[in-house]
Formats: sequence, C-alpha cells, structure tokens
Amino acid sequence: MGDLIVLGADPPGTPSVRRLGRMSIGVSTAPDLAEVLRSWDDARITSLLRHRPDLAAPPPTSITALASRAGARGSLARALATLDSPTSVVAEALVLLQPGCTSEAVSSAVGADAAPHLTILTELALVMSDGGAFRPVPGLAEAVGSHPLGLGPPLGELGARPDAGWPTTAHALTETMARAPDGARRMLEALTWGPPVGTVAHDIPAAARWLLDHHVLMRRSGTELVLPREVGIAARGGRLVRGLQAAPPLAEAPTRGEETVAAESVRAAETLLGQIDQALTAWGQEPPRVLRAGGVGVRELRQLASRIGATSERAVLAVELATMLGLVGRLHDDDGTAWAPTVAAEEWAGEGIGERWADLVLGWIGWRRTPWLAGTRDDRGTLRSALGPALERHWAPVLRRRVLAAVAAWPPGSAPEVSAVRERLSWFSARSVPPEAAVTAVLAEAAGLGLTGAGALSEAGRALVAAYGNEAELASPAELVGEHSRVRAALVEAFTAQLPPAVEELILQGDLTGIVPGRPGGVLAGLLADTAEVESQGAAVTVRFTAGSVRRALERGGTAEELLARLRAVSPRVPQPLEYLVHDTARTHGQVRVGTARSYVRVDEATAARLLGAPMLAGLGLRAIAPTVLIARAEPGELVAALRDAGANPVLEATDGTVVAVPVPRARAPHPAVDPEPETGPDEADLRESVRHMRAGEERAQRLLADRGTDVPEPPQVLEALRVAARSGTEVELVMAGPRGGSESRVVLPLTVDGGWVRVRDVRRDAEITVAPHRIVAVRPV
Amino acid sequence: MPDGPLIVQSDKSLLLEVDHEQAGACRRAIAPFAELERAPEHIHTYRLTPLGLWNARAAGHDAEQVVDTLIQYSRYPVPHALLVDIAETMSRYGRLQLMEHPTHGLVLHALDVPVLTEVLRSKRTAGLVGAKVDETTVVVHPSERGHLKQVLVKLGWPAEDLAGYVDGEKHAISLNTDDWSLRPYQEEAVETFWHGGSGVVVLPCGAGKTLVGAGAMAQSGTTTLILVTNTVSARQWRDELVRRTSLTAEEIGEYSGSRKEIRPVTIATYQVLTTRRKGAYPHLDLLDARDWGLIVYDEVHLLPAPIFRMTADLQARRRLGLTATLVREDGREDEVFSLIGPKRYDAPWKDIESQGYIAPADCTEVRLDLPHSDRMAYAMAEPEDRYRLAATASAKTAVVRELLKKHAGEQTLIIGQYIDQLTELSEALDAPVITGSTTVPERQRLFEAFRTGELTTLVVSKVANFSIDLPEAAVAIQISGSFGSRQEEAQRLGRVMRPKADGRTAHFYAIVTRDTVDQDFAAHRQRFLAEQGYAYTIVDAVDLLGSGA
Repeated sequence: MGDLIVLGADPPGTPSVRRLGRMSIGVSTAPDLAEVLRSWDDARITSLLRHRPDLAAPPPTSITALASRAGARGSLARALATLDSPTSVVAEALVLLQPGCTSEAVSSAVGADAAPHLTILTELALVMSDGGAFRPVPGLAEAVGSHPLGLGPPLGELGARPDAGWPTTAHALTETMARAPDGARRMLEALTWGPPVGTVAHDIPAAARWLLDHHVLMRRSGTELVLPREVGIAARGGRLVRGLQAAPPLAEAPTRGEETVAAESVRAAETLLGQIDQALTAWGQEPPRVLRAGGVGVRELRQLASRIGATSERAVLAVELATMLGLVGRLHDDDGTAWAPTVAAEEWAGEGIGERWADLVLGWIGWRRTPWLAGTRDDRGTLRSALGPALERHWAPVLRRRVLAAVAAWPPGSAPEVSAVRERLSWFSARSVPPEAAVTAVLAEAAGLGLTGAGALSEAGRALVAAYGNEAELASPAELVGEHSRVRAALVEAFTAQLPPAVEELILQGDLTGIVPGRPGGVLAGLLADTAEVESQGAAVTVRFTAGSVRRALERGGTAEELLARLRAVSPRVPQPLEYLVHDTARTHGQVRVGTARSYVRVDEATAARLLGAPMLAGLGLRAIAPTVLIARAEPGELVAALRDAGANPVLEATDGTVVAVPVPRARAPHPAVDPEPETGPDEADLRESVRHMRAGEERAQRLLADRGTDVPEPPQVLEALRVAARSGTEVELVMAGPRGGSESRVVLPLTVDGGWVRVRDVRRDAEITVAPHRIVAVRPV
Repeated sequence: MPDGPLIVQSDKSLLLEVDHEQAGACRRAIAPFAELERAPEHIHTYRLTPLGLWNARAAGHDAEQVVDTLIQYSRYPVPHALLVDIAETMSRYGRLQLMEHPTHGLVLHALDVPVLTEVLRSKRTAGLVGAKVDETTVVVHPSERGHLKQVLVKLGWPAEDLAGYVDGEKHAISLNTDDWSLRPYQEEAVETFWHGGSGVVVLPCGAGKTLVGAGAMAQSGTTTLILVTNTVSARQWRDELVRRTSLTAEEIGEYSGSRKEIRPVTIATYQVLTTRRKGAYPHLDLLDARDWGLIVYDEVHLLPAPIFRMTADLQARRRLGLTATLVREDGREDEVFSLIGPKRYDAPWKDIESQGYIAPADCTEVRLDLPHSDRMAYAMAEPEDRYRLAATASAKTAVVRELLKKHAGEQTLIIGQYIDQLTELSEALDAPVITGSTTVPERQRLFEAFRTGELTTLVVSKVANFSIDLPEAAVAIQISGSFGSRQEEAQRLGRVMRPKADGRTAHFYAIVTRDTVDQDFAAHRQRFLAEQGYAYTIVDAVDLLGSGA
C-alpha cells in the first residue's frame, strides 16, 4: 500500500486517492520512450510493429522516429481502441494513479491482478516500466480523454478550494449523503458510474442545489455540473472500478435444433445464390447505367428488386456480392458505361452450389464494402449508392471476422441476440465498440449467406470461423493466401454436408402447377428453370406452367414431344391440361421468325435470281428470304462493293430507308471486372527488415550527433539527428545555407521536427527560428 | 417427423400431400388456422394469413397450438422466422377488446396500453371513439362498432368483440325433420357458427347452404332478416323455409322491389336495400324495423359495398354469411372478416363430393378456332371490344349444337353473358331464353317446366347465376362470362352439382375462342375450380365436331 499515490486517513484496504490528476512528467526524472525502445531487442520491436500496424507503415527511419510516432495522440488512441476491457481499465487507472506506481498498487486500485495487463500495455509501448514502477507514456492521458474510468477532473483542476469541506472519503460522503433528499441521492448515483457531468436548466433543481451546497457537485459553467474526481472515487467506495471483467461475457442465448439450423442456413444460401443468378440475368438483359459518381441508380435497383422478388436491401447485397466476385463489371458502349455481367458470370453459373457458396463467403469475409449503407446519406447529404465508391470501409473485413468469431464463442446451436454479440465484441475493444447498426447488418449478411440459420452458426459457418482464428487474434485473409484452396475445400465440404438429399420427382397437377417435395436435384432444377415459373421456394418448390414458360422452354430448342418426354421422366403422370398447354404453345411457336443478317438486298425477282447464281458473289452468303429480298453475311460496305463489281448498281440504305454513304462499324468489348484488391499487411520479414532499417537510421543519427565528421549527410539523416536531439534536449551545431549563398553556423536546441519545418532555439541569441530542411547543410555535436 | 405429410414453406404456404396416411389428421389439425388455397389432385396448398390466424384465435386456438401442429406434421424443419411470425401475429389479436361497460356502455378496452395509444393516434380511428374512461378504456359510439372493428383489422390490431349480441325478438322456429335431416357437415357448420357468435360458412354450390341458414334460424329461435341477391332467390328461400321448417308462408315476408312485407322472417334483396333516392337509402329502416335476432347474408362474396357500410351498424346482432367461395373479385375479404365475422366453417368441394352430397362433375374446355375473317376483325378491334367479339363468335353455335346432340335427353343449361348472343342462340336451338327482362311469373313458369322435364334446354343470362334451384340440370354449357370472374365460374358449375337421382356425373362445358382474350379470361376463371380439384380437360372444337360427324 505504501507506494499507492498518497494515502489518506481511510482504513487500510480501501485505497483512497487524494491527489489524483494529470501529473507533469519531467523529462529528467522519467525515462524517455525512445530510450526505452532502444533498449528493446528486435523481437520485441517486431511484435510492437505487428500489434500497432500504424507504426510500421511507412517504415520509420529510426527508433527515435518510431518512438515519436508511437507517442503521437492518434496512434495512442488507435492502440487504446484495440485493448480489451480489463486492459483498457488498467490503462485508464494508470492515468489516474501517481506515475511510477507498482503493479500491486494498480492491482489494488482496480481490485484484481493487473500484472498481465500491465505487461500487455508495456509491450504495446503505452506504458513504460522501470524496475517495477509503471508510468503511462506521455500523451496517454490525453488519448484516454477527459474522463478516465468515467471520473471527473480533480478538484485542483476545477479550481476548487480543497479545504472547503469536500467529502473525499467514502466515510465522509456517506455521512453527508445520510441527510440528502432522495432526488439528490439518485442524482449522485447516476453520476457515480456514468459520465461525471450533468446538465441542468438555468434554474437549478432542488436536488442539484442540495448537492452543490454540500460540496458534492461542482458547477463548472452555467448549466454544467460535475462530480469532482475525489468525490467520485469516494462515491465508488474508494475503488476506481467495480472490478475487472476477466473473461468476455457470454449472455444467455436461445438454442435451435441442429436440423433447423442446417435447413435454414442452406435455404438462405440457396435463396441468395438464386437471387444473384436472377440479378445477373436481369442485368444481362437490361444493363443499368453507371452513375456519374459511380454506382447504380435507386430506380434501377428498385426495378431489380421487384424483378427478383426481394427487398431493395437484398437486391443491393446481391449485386454487390456479384461485383465482389467479378461477376458484374462495367460495359462501355456508345451510350456510356453500364453495369453488366462479365464473362466470369458464365463460368460461375457452371460451378457447383458448394463451390459457389464457398467463393461467396470467402470473398465476403475479407470484403471492404458495407452494402447496408447504400441508400443512406453522408454528412454532406450526398446519397451513397450501391456499387458506388462511398461504401468502402477499411474496418468492414475486421468487423465481419470479429462478429462471426463472437457468435462462434457460444455453444453450437445458440442464437445470441444482436445485443449479446455486441456486448461480447465490446469486451474485446472496450474503447471502440462497433456501432449496433453495423453489427446488426453484419449478422443480417451472415444470415443471408447462410453462415447462420435461425440465428445460430451453421456447421459451414463454423468451418469459416475455424479458418480465420479466434476472437482475440484474427487472421487476415492475406495471411491465409496459401491456405485458400484448403479452406475453400473445407467450406465446400461443410456446406454440401448440410444439403438435404436431392429429390428428382415432380408432382404435376391438373391446375398446371408442379411440386417438388424437397430440394430439386440438378436435372430437375434445370428442367424447372427451363420450363416453369417458380411460385414458392423453400423446403419444397412449387412451380406453375404457363404459356409463357412453355414458350421459353421451346425457344431453347426442342419440340413439344421432347419437352413432354423430359417431364414424363421426372413425373409419374402428366395431366391432360399440361399436355394440351405444351402442344398448344408449340403450335403457335415459331409463327414469327427472326434471324440474323449483316446486310440485305432489295431487288426485283429476275435480278435476285441473277445475283444468287453469280459465282463471284458466292462468298457473300447471299440467301433469298422472300422473292425480292436477299440477305447476306457480308457487311453492307463489302456487299455494295461486290455488287458494284458484279455489274449491279447498288446504293446503300440506312435504317430508315434513306440512302447513305458509308456504314458505321460498331464494336463492343466487355470490361474485365477489377479483382477486389487483396488486403495486404506487412509480413514478418518486412517487419524485421523495417526494424533493421530503424536501427541503422538510429545509429547514423547518433553518429552524426557524436562525431564532427566532414561527410555531407543525407537530408533524412539530418532530420533524424535533429529529431533525436529534440527528444533528448541536446544542443547541436546547425550549419545552414545562408541567404547570400554562404553558410552560417549556429548552436541550437532543436524543438520540433515536423511538417517539413524544423523549429530550433538559437541558444546564444535566445531566439526561436524556423528553418526549411533544404537549407540545412549539416548537423554536428557541439 | 421426417415423414410428415406437410411441407411448410417460408413464404407461409403449407403443402399437404393428400395421399399420405396422416393427411386426414393433418388437414383437420391445420384447417382452423390455415386457408385452403388450392386443392388439386395430389398436393393441397394452404396459406397462413393474418386473417386466418386471427380467425383461429377467435375460435380459441393459441399460437402454441398452431406451432405444435406445424412441427408435428412437418416433413422438414419448420422455418424459424415463420414460427416467430405466427406467434407475433396471433398475439396481436385480442389485445383490444370491445366490451359492455356497466356505466359507459360500449367501450374499447386495452390489455396493452401502448397498443391503445397507437390505435387512438391513428387518423383512421378519429371520430369512431369518444372520451377516455381511464388509461386502458375508451368509449365507443355504438353505431361505430362495426366500422371500428374494420379499422382495427386494417391497423393490424383486431379487436375481440366481447360486447355480445342483443337477444332479439323471440320467434319459435324448428326444423321439420320428418322426411329429411341435416347432413353431418351442415350440422357441424351450424354448430361451429353458433358457438363462434357470428361468421361465415363456406360450402360448395349445391351443398345446401340454405339449410345451414335454416338450421341457424332454428338454433336462434328469433326473428330473422335474410338478405339475398335477387327476387327469384328470395322466393326460393321462402319455399325452402316453408318446406323445411315450422314457418308458415304467413310468417315469411318478402321485401323486394315489388313487395314490401315485414314479417317475423323477412327476406330482402340487396338491390332494394341499396336503392338510393335523393342521396338517401329509403329502405334502410328495414334493418331496424324489428328487433332482429339473426341476420343471414346469402352469397356473401357478392355483398355490395353499401351493405358493408350498413352492416357496420348491425354489429350488435348475430350475423351469418353463406357463400361458396370467399374469393371476392374486389379483394374485400378482410371486410367480410371484420363486419360479418371470421370464417367458421369450410370444406373442400371434393370432400363433399366424395361423400356423395354433390354430384361429381366433369369439366371440359372446348377450344374453337376463329375463322379467318373473324380473326381479322378481332385483330382490328379496340381492346374494350375484343372480349365481346371473341366471346360471341358465331362459330360457338355449332359447338353448342354438337354438345346438345352428345347429351341428348339430359337437362341442359346454356349460360352466357351477352343478350344478343343468347337470343340468337335461343332462336337457332329453338329453346326459350331467360334474361333480366323476363318477368318473374314467366321465369318461374319456365323453371317449373325445366324442373318437370317438359323442357330440356334452357338458355339463361347471368340472372340465373345465383340461387336458382334447378335440381336436374345435368349439363351446363358456358358460352361467355363476366371476363375473368372466378366466383362466377364456381357458381355456374354449381348449377349442375346438385346430386342426381341416379348418381350421374354432371358435365360442365366452357366454349372458348382460341388465341384471344376469351382464352386468357377462361384460364383465370378456371383457377378457382382447378384449385378445388376440378381439372379441366381441354379439347379442340375440331375434334369434337369431327367425332360427332
């Protein structure tokens, strides 16, 4: 207890904190972070770079540069955001405690063993340890924010007179509150564990007035009341926190039967795959324009949604996923650019359902897009459109992996609520809890993909989680590149194992409907896709045969008898009305005929006969389709030339029948879909290389400061040396190019090296000057 | 469980395999909450709708029962979201109750305050409710009881009507069951209706809906108002009641265009009630003319919209709706639910047929090619004239002749939509024609002649669609209809479905012109019957004429 900040008169065991607050850390007494890092071995630095990736890119030029980057507010905040709940509490507690306290002191302040968390914080360079005394790195307090652990500012900082009778011990506060009215007690309760600041109207309510009068609250501004830190700790009974939540929470969750989960997840996956196919078909027929800002219009999406029988949200997901897999790309034509299926879409259609599903989820887990944001507006009120650039989020893949891994923490068959999943996620990153909307959306995507069924993770979903590590340390897809084919195979296997046995039987009925009492097998599914309209899809499939659907089947080739033979092969009995429908449709089928010709010739009958018989025109592919109309395979220009050579006197007709000069050739080329950029992080070798590079830089800088050599150093080394000197408060001699071409030398204390400017204090003249780096010729030790 | 007869789809349709050994039990179990959508030969489709689930709640079934039933009979795992949805939907029923308050009269009482708040905040309930009695209770204007119920269904919070019924003026009625008795399904229908309070009984044409009405009247033993579609139907109701019940002709009044009698049992036509003079309904007083204990709506699917509004004022009286199909071409099924009452009894046509209470029927569609000249005329016609042109193709006469020859000696009805066509046909076939302009005595004379067999062929317009009792019609030939009306097709088939003395199969023919809107409408018209298991055989007119020659 002896080393716990300053002890009050409280009974032993209840640590009370009398003088808490941000301490100014003297450069002379506290070790410098750069110094600490310099003492680390390569493995520790590599591990630091791995855990705080923002420090590694771009590679810092020296250890000093690394230290200054690691101490920057933004980087600290990022590092804090990755801490789990207990570690984060320890970090905040450390900000509150006197610098240089021991592990025991921290443990006693948080009411649990803090040692492992302190180790983590030290390894992350958030806390420096010096022979068992821990202190936060400078800047951590600022990064933690104004209310560490939900406590208000200390009395001293608030400008209160400490001797005004503030109840800063649990005992004193209990005594004060014993006389308090109910309202006041409730108000204090609310402020104790929550944010310590309350807002009141201008006429202060009686309860608040009472608390102010009894020195429990303090009025910070006209309407803002604050619970001073010391009183807050007293209200918490002398503790800083209720305790550390050692393990991530696992709330009660309802369970679902194994069969239900499997059936529902497969059903969802089949539905989504079906919708993607439908969307590809729809856009193949009518490619929507690419908006000027990228993306696809709201109206086009709505049309698509109604065509595939889904909500707009689902339509967005379907086309976004299709684009992710490179099945949809940009098609450039004369009218501009449109979204259309790519060549890859055809190969995709030929893949098995398991393979297609595996590709889909493997793409999804590392996907940087957030389709659920489509249709929302950004801060400037601009609509974010589907397939547009505004849906990219770098955190999306991390969130997907974390959400899925969190659900996997529950025993198989559990269907945790969104709030329970979020609660668990927030344990892992206490200071940056993913927004509920995003977690909900990711869970909805997982349900749509069939990773979950009835809210519980499916076996195939588990296979995906297994490939992507546990909740705390998540593998990124890049690290699994080599594993990709193995993971894919595992996913295919897990998915197909869930599929119910296929049925190859179709029950046809007199009302022109047909029912497959289960999941249709390949042959049957193909037949139904060709010949019928799906009315209801689920555990079974209901279809209806209409004149339109039968016509469609006939258009794919084949006769009525062949079609009926295909139906008879899967159905015990084909009812008379259906047979009649097929024959009747076949009868009217082909009354209007359409064909292809590149060009045509209109002539009188005699000339037609002459042209058809002319050997020199044989290569044009001329054919008579009516007595006075010939068609040709040749282009109009070629045909005109050939006919002219043959002695006819042709003119060229435009589409509207007028005579024109030259045919305009048109060509189209599908734009290959751009592969989604693989997410890459630095690998181990990169990190080692970068540490080596830092050490070398550090060494050069130190040498420069130590040695009055005559080498002209490289500018980065000069800056590095100045940075090191600024850190350690070392005076140096700075040689600068003078305004008239000569050089001048000054003894300076470097202050900051930042943003392309070097700020130094000229020691002899006692003036601050700012120097542009290009003017610096050399830096030498004094 | 894996071999159950039922497949539950996530789109709320239920597929029942009829040949399965548990099919019967399953059908009985799901009938209370699922609507039969179609009943073709192998697999019947039922559908879960909010109305259906509320009907079930009204009949005392709870969500747990529904869920258990589905799980028990399902072949595959039941979609979880569906189960959640069922529970959610069913829990909406009855959170609001209409009841009689000792001091405030009719009130709407909420078991759930937020629901009441939501409902009262809706614009639709404005003016229907009065002052709040307390937090959970609000006064309802008695005249708005029906209207409010209607609005509440639309808002998704159907109210349970616990306010009860007025007893009505007592009038003893009993059934004369000396030489006949109610069939089991009729008895069951009366029973379930009576226990449910108010509601609709759905039975196929020819299955004796009138007797269900009579049964309900005997059960009620009060003065009764019967609303029917037309005068002929009114007279048939009267005759049937005189024959089957203790009522005498003097006790039964007719309130129609020609007569305005108000007696303990009064039969009124929809038409007379909806007659407007100077913006008012002069005959509305009939509804309050006596203290009716029961109101019977015949052919409830045809109930005109004004009657709906009037019915809204009759919520304190017991109501029975009778119909062959709840399909309303105007999609107002939910108003039937809220104003007349939930569906209380339903039986698939084929079931009743298999019990021998309605004649088996053989449906045939005869497709006819338009001659070339007519095809040109058709192609050139304005869209609104096309159906008429196609439906009245003169080539149909030859087919009718052929069919008459085939069924020589059998009682045959020829039914059509267009008077010109019917008149022409009647001249060509030398058969009398009945249209809207035929006088009532003349109609009755012709019907009687047809009934006795003196006449074998009768040409009728759509006036004969409803409630005419032609016991021995064995063949019906439909030459044109009201566009794609499914219920009309069902009614017309009903004309031939009364059981024949010798158990013969009835025949129903629809003559349709190929490749025209006539064919499209016919396809739509046949859907209801096809879904009830009546598969149409399609033949070409050429084959028919060829075989006859």
